[in-house]
Amino acid sequence: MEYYRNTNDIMNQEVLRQVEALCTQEELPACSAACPLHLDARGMIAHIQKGDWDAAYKLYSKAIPFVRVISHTCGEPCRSMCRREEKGGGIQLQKLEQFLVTREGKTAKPPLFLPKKSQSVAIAGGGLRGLAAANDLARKGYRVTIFEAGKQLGGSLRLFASEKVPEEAIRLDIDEVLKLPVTVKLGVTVPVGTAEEIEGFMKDGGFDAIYLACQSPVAAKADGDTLITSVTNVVAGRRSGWREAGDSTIYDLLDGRSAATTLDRLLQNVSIKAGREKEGSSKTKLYTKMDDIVSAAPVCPDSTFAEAQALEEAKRCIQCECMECVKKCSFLQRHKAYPRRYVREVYNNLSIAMGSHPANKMINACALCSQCEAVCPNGLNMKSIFLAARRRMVQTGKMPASAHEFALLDMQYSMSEEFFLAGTDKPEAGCEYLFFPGCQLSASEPELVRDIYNDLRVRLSGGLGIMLSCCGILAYWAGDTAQLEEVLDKIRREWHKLGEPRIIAACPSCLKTLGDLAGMPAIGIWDVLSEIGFPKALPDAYTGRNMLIHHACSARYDDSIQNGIISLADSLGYKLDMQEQKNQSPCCGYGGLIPFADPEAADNISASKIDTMRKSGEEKPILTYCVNCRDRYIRQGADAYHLLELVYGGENLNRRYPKWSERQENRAELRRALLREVFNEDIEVNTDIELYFKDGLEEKLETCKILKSDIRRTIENAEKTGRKFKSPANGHFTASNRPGNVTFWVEYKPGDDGYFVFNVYSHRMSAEMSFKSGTEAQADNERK
Amino acid sequence: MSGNKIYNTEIDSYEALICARCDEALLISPVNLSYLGHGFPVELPCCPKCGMIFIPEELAVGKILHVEKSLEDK
Repeated sequence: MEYYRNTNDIMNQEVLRQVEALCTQEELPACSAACPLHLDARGMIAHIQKGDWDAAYKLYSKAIPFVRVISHTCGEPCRSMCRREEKGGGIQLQKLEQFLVTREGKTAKPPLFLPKKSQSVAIAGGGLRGLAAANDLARKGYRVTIFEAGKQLGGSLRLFASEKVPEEAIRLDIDEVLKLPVTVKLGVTVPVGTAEEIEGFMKDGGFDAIYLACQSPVAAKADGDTLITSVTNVVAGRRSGWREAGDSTIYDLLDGRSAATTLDRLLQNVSIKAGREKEGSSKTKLYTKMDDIVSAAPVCPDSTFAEAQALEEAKRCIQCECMECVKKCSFLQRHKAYPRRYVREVYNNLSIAMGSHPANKMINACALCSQCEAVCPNGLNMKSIFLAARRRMVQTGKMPASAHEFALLDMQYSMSEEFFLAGTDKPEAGCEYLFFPGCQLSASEPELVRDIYNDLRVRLSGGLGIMLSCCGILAYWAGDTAQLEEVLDKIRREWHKLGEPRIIAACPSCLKTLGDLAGMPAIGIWDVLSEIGFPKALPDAYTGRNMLIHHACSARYDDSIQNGIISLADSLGYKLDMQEQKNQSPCCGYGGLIPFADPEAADNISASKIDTMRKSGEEKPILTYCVNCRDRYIRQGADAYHLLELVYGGENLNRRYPKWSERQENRAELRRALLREVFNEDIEVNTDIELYFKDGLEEKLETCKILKSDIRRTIENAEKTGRKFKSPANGHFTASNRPGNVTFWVEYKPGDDGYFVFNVYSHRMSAEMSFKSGTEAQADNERK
Repeated sequence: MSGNKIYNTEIDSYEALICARCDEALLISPVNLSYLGHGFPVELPCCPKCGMIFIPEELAVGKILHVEKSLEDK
């Protein structure tokens, strides 16, 4: 799915929030959402799982006041919501808490420094609600007085003392509140019958505000979310909304805490409601996959825990999280977070006007393959975000020049006279079809392209033209809309001249770009072959083998391509594994131009995909139907095949990963061969000067993205102009050339029939002499 | 350019090269490196006669690359 109508939309905060909301990873786990105080039970249990009881207790006691009472009396609204419930039974959190309090609990010291506020607050009712409000307000620095009609604090807690919770535990918990600056007035009944009574009480006592934590007609009309009433500075009653377990004490804490928050906001004169939507129990949206979780029954359900049982019970916690897309994508893993964060990072990155853009690298390292969308329960598609970001960066001039320039120059090479070709050998016979092999199949397996074209020419009636070109996907991936349109315009013009034939694409990416994006009628070659059958001489080298199929990312969601390929492979006699990965297939590492922008990330993706395939299919060869997938896997040392090479076979297949230069030379040679053989045009070939490379240097060219043609041009230029440096020690020349945005340096020596190349390097910065002339500089140097 | 900071390229030794056309030994001279509208005055080996500048590899793939990347991410 696309989230942005234009490149401005990615800067729209409203859209940003909608997109962020699709990722649930930051949602509370079910237990914390259900807990009215949102205890981070997952975090607490994670500490227990590691045996760090101290950290677990600290986390618990920081979030929950009255730990002794609560750990005995909480109704565990978390438990029925726990995802474990469907796999054996919810985690017994209350018993874990009890064990923590027993093991680690000690009397908490009051904070050394409390803020001081001049306002004073009355609390009517010394039960748990009132105590909870007093606790929060006193810690915020208010002068708090609790009025209790009875003889002791604790209210209804005293009713189930000793039955549910030891009397001593209640005393200790209440004592902790009393250590704070709180005044207690026992045996005093606050008049709470009418607004006038309450106002009078506040005025007489000099109170700025009051919480009625007791029965009152005023409380009955209080707002269920904030407990605010129609009487000024009077907060009362209980919260409305979901109460899972009747009179559970944890909801008393919530009431007291909500009242304290409202009173604090009233007295600070800030918004009462803002940002409080998440108070109280709720249901989480966090997706957690449960399929692989093995059922496990609660530990010792009828007795309290000793350490071993607590540990065992904690280990039943599955630590709910989503991370579905991250688990499957090595790129998403590499940046150590999850989509919600990435969406925000991209937004922040694009918002920076001055200064460093830390997410540039991440934006250009996504394969744009949409696997995440297929995996995500909410269908969040990171491609849409990263592609929109790239488009905006290109549009605003913020795209790092080095990220995609090499790829786009390669695309321009494909569109130049070196490769581009559109025509039909028998124009008079019509041109019903146009074979579009794509740039990289031609770059990688030019002989295969010739074989296919020669076969289809004979077997397809209605006339078959050919177009050697890039489909434009390189510009699409780079976010360079202008260059994409230029490419598509050229293709459209030539296609129109040929009488608008139906395009037969050999690559699913070309098919999608020319068909879906450019709106031309296009079909896949696999569909043509399944209709007209295989060429007579079907190679049998691999027939009957088991293979793992790797579905191309551009075929995602396209049943017709995926099934077309599978049925074609089937009729060739192959048994395919991993067919179920159709829509969730990861990228091979070529997509999105990552081999250009971030070669290391691309290699990681390829290696991780091969790992997954090896795990499930041992050492079976991999079947692909996009040559980039095949080449990426071959480059990683895997045994990978392109479907078309299995159909056409042939002695002349390269079956290896051609280097950048070879990819261009192969394309040029294919064009020349077709012109010669099919169109009977013999074009003049400029013989290139021969280059002999020092051992290992060709690998360096590959890494540094320097083409042999760059080297030839540099040497030719140096030899023509004489502008070169010479080393008297070894007689090597060093020369530079800057044909575009890059300066190439070559260290070489002429040989009998060519040049020996010893070193090459490049940089993008340009250099020019400062205003001092050479002579002045010389004079300076002499003075030194 | 006087008064401006001269960035240290830390090239203390470069191969004894001569300009093949002028047959002159190279001398360290003031050069302006620039990228994406930012200029950096440095001193590099140049032909004292024709001004042809030599940029050694360790500089190209070291400091220059580093600065290029920083500027591209600006």
